[in-house]
Amino acid sequence: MIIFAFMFARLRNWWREFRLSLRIKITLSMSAIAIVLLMSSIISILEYKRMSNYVSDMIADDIRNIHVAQRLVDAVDTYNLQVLAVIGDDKLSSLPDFDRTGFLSYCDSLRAGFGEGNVIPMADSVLYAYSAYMLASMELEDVLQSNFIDTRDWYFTRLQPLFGRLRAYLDRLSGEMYAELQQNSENFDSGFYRSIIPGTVAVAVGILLVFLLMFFILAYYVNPIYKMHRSLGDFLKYRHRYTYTFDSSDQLGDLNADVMELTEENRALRRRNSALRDSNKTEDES
Amino acid sequence: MNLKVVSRNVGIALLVSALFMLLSVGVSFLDGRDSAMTPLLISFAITFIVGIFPFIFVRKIPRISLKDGYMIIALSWLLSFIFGALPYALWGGPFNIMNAWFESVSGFTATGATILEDIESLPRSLVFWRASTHFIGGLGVVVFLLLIIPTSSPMRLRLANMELSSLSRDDYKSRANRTVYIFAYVYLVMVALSFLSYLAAGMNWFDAICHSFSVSASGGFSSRNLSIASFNSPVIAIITIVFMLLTSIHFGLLFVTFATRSVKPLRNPILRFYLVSIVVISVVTSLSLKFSNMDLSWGKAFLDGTFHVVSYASTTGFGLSDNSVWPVLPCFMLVFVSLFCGCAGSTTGGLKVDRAVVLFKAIRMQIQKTLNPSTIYEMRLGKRILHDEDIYPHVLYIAMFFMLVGISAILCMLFGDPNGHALTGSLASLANVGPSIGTIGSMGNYNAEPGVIKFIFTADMFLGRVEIYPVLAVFSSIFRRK
Repeated sequence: MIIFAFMFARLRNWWREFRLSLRIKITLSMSAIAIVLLMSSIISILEYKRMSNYVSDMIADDIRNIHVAQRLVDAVDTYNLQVLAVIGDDKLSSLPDFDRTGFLSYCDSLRAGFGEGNVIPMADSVLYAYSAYMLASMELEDVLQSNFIDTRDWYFTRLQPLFGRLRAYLDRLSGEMYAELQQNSENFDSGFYRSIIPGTVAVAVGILLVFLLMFFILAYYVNPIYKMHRSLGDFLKYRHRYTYTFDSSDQLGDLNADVMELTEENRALRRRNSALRDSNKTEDES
Repeated sequence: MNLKVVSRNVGIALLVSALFMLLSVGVSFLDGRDSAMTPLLISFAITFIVGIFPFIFVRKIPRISLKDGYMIIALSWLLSFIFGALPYALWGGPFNIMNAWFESVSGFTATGATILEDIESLPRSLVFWRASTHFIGGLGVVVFLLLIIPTSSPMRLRLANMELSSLSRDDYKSRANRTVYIFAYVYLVMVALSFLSYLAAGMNWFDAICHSFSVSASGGFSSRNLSIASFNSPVIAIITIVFMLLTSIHFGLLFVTFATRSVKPLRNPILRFYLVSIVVISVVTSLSLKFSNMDLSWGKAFLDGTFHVVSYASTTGFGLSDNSVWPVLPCFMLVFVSLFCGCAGSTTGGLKVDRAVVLFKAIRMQIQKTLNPSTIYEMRLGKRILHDEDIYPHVLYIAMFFMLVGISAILCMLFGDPNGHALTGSLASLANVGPSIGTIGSMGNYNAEPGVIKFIFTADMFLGRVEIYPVLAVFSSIFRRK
């Protein structure tokens, strides 16, 4: 604690005696503005890169998901048409085939593409409806072989409701996906809005610093130089005393002190000169 | 306005914020460089550069005028809000511009209202920054500034007189210069004691430090979604009650009690009034909770009732249970205690119980004067005789407070007020309590409020924290004709 207090006191004394030269002041202030502007540009570039990657990924994901959903619908529709064709022909030889692995992998890819929201539950519902539909469609072979089951009746009472349910879930899945896409687009809007904030803040801070610098240069350098010039002019023209002082800890303050000293010396010399001249005149007259 | 002196002192206030941002970066580093590290680092760099910039040119502190002093106070707070919102805005997540601003203002003014629905999903460094805003704001941004200004400076006296509540300056014969140190000492001791108590009660160091910052500042930000309820520990709840109560008592009084090792200073009439009110209201609230259809045990009813009454009276705003399901009477009690809050000279917001005592005494004297017009009465507060000029500013402040609550509520209603929190939200914000009742209750948040209403509430928080006058003084000095 004592060491800390001692160090603090030393630091405080050093700070009190520490003087920044004019050159360092200008360099430091300009560097501060440069750092802020550099930061704003780095932030802008990073944000641009991040947003650009985000947009590319988002568009790619959206296209892929829409494509996958369309494939699911197509696969189910095609299979159902094939089933209908077989039922129409009433032939066992040409039983339709369904790419189950492909269908399941499409469903899995949809589930993986959406982390949260309603798409995943809906994809699960599609899978359940698909399982029910497939289980029912497996009965087709038995139905065709059977002599006492009406194939068309079996289709309309047993398979078509399940197909309708699967199709409805697929439609709802597409709807949910479009809703997710809309949400993505809104998120993108807010993300874009947010991404410009850091850059905007840094630029605003830069502008604030520029104005502060302008004020300080005017207050600490330009105005004192003007006043020094005016006071010096008054001294030369009207022999007024040079009394101008201002608060400064750098070379301009030293310069002002030197000018004041010089003018005082000049005044003293002039006074001495005139006194000498007066005494010479008196001597001449006497 | 003297821009040199204003910019230099506002710079000091910003450097304090920058220091805590750097500490938050340290927390992020310790926590495995979490996602808030870059936002905090950028915010630190920007805040530090802006804070240090005036020091390049302004070396000596020129004399400060009254107008400059008010300007320093208003700008120090405002810029702290703006730069304090940077880490949130840069991090993103639930923080859009308005939410970041709301969280920052609520943190610095030690209000403790939040827009966050899931605090535990935030990176720890950001939660630490959130708690740090309470720590900085609790003592007051300007008091930090005063600690740095040399003791002999005439500016220090002037700023201290402006920043510290007018009521707190009257007491305990401590000069304004010393008052600042007393405030700082007591505040830091409170932080240290509460931190150690929480650690001893079983909190981890991170939660302990966040809650100690929060409880000492009478803030209310917690590092957990369910606030104090998430610890499910009556010991932690009781520790919180004790510290909430201590931080709502005049710091000078606590200092004198400790320094003289005597309980005599605690016989203060204002403190007695405050403690008696707390006890009475706690009992009424607890009994109404017990006899409601919530099926609470006696212990739970008393713990919940007392905790929430002390939490609202001290303007801390921690929660131990969800008061949105409470009956009407205890909710009304909470709104009532959040009007007058704690003692002056503490970290609490609101009207302050000192003003309530002055108001009640003034009303009583007025009634006596009406009954006996020819009698001369004198009003006493302890040993002190109060004159009209002592009473007038406080009564005026109370009137102004209620007028502002009214204006704020009307503005909220004009902008829709879809959730019906215009009045309770305005009151909770202006008194710096934070939570109120309903969906903005002890377990709720302000996220559902529209942006404009959030902004109105933040304006209330700012006005409440600086006790209205400095902001009005700055506005009147800006718009006044020369």
